[in-house]
Amino acid sequence: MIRVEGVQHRFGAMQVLHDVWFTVPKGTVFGFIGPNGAGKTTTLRMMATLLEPDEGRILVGGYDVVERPNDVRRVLGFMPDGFGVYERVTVAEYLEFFASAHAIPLDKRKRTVEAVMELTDLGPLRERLVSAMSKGMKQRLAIARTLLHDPEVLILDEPANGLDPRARIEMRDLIEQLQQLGKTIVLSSHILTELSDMVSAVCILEKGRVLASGPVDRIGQQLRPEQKVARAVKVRLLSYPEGCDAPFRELPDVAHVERGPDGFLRIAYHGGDETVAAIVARAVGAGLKVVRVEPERDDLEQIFLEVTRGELQ
Amino acid sequence: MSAPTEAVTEPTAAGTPPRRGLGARLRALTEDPNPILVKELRTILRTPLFVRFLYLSTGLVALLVVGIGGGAASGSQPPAEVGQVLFQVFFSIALAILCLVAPAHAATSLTNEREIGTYESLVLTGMDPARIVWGKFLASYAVFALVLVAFSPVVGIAFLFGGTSPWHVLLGFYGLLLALGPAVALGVALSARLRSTRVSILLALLVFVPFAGFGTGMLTAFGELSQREWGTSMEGPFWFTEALATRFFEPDTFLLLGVLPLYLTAMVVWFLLASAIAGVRPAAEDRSTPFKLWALAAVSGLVVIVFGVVTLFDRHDVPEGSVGVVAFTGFAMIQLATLFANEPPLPPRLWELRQESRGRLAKLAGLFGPGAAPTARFGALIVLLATFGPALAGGLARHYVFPTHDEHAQADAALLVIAAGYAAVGLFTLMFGTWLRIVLRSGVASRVIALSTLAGLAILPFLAAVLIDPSSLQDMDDHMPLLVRLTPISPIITAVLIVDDNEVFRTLEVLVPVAFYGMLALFFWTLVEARVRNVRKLVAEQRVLREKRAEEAAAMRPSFTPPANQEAVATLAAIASGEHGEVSELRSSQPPDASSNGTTTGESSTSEPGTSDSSTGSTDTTEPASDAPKEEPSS
Repeated sequence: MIRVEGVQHRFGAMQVLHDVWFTVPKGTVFGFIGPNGAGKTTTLRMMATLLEPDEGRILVGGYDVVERPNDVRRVLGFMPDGFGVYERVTVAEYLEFFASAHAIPLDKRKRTVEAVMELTDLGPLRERLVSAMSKGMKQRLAIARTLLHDPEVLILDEPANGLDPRARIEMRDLIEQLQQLGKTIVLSSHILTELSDMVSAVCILEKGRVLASGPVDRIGQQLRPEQKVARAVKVRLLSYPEGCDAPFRELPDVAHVERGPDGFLRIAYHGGDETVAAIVARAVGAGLKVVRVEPERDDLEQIFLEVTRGELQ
Repeated sequence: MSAPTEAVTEPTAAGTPPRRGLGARLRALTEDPNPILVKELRTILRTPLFVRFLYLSTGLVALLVVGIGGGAASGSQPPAEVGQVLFQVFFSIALAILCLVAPAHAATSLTNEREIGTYESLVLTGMDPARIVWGKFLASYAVFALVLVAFSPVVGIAFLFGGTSPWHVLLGFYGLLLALGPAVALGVALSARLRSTRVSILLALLVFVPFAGFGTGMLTAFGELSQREWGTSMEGPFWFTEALATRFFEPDTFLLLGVLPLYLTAMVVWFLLASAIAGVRPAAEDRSTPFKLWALAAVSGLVVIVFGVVTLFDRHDVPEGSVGVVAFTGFAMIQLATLFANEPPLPPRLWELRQESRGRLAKLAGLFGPGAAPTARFGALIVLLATFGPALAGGLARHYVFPTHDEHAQADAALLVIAAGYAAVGLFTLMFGTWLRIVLRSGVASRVIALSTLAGLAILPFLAAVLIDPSSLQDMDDHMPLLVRLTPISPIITAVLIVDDNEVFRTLEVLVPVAFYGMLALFFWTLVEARVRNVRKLVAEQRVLREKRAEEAAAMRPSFTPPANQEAVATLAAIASGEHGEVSELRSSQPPDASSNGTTTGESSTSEPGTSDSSTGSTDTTEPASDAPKEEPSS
């Protein structure tokens, strides 16, 4: 759905993107991650036809963003980071304004706005002034605005930025719902745990270079080709009898076992999900009452930490 | 969360609006007006500050009118004169408030969108930039028209004293509404070009306030002329209300106070809005056509106005009058030439792409479309029209009003000299400016240099002639030195000599500046065309090269990029095995570009092209990139 091919860009003397390549398959939720200053927003703005690449090309829905920007805009909805809203109009007026700007015919406009409000749960707030809405609701309104012309691709730059936990959960639900509608969604975010629940593929960018891109699990496999890298799980038990860590030490893939600060067992291991399953089986076999087993770090966080260097650009 | 509905998918069909007839377009104006206009009006009318401004400004106007009117009434003036003073005070204060507030308000219209972050959302809707600009203009205009409506009851005080009529009041508001057009258009144009609201406001005031002050001064001075010529009694800048009310159907009043202000205002507003549209339109789009349409309308209107003005002269003054009018308008129109000296060598990319699929007529029109060479051709046409058009109109008007005048031959010869001379000078300015623009890559620099050169050429020949022979300028009537004939103003001197001395044979003298500037124009035109051809060739070659390189790279590169810094794997393995000491060594041993994506190009063996991605249920992720373009339209 989106193809970024050898894109380079510079702002004055500073090269911000170096030969960036990645593909976003149709219907996926694609995470675009990287440290601050990595070039994420620049790339997203290029995909949204707001910037032109100095070199390379970007195709969205098969259209070149430089040569067919109007076609790209028809298939694309873009919510920039730090977007603005018109404050002194109501929710319905706001959406009707953008529906009109999108040249949606008058006879279909009202129905479209109603449908989008229903989808984004903004119906009850239709008469509320935008200035009186919370940040989460404004974020929702911004997404509703991008949906008015029914784009195939949604690009959301930091959609959960500054939202409270409830609003984040609601935002995640909304994005999942949009994916079910067949939309291709590109998300940029710093909140990796949020992304990991939603994205199936990612592109990790650092200092304007792609460090990895593709499905999350494949990148994970590439990072641990021979399962040499230690990962860790936290095992919480109902109680921690003396010597409760001993059974795990006997497992061949377990590298290290220790007690965490709040009592849980931290078990470092090599390998993949099979090892985790073996750890659980061993705990049950040893008569330990397992309450919870959780990865010390989320997959995506782990990948991110492994492939990025954390250097400032 | 609600379930998705079918209706959500309906707007798919929406995109570019379908073509509509004139009737449907007119209906749409009321049924589906410009969304920006509606939104802006809603926003402004809901702003508490605006309501306060209405109250306060109306109160201020009332206080000033009462205060000044009370001062006037306490003297020995008759009531009618007091009424007229109050009338002038009211409209002058209203004009001053508009001049201060309207440009400043309009100057925030687009910069504010940029600053609050809504501009990009607006652009991404695909809305036509002209619609955006017109929406902003009409909204600001409507708001200040509303301010005038709020002021209007105050003028009723003047009726208490007499001396004015409802017609005066209506015509006074007509004058204010005319002045409001350029004020708002200037603000919108600046806000489209600038990024900062503060700078935009400041510049709008710095430009418009002196301009309005000068205009008001001129208007007041013309009022004294009107008292002498037309016998009007009203003093102050709004004297024209009386002249229009009493002499509206007189040709001179109708033309000078009715048609001319409308034409000038419309042209100024059109030009500023064309500039605003060009500012909103991206660089890849055609920005020059709005200016070209404007130039066509401006020059055509000018031809009509010149015809009308020349018919107003009496028999005695008409030869000099027609030459004077054409000399003035022609000189002003030469400046137009520099307007078209600001195009890059090649037309905008998107325009060229669209042009490929257009019909023959559009392709023919493309010869005068955007890009340096076509715009130079169009500019040449405009220069010829702007020089010969008014000359022809002036001559025809003179023949039409006084068919048996005995000085037609001299006046016609003088007009021909001015038209031919100005045309050559205008063409030189245009071609020289266009060439400079291509070479220097700066529109401002090219125009400044072109106009400075013209100014230099106007003065230096005189200085050189005096240096060579101090007495050479003393006998200009009989013998104009060759060097002086080369100045851009020599056609005017020749024309004046022809009319004053009845020497029609001097018409041929214009051949010197015409040949000089004509040859120079031709020379620079050739340079422009050649340069554009070269640039086009170069760009085409580069494009082919780039596309070839991109295709080769795309064929080699899989869509899956394995992690670039494989040293991370080793690092983490080292951590796991307790060899922390080696970490820094491992990192520093990598070459600086080891993490670049380029290093992964050769690692395509690590990816598995063609395998499906179980997590997404899609096979697209792992397909080789070279396969994908099959589904893409050629671009």
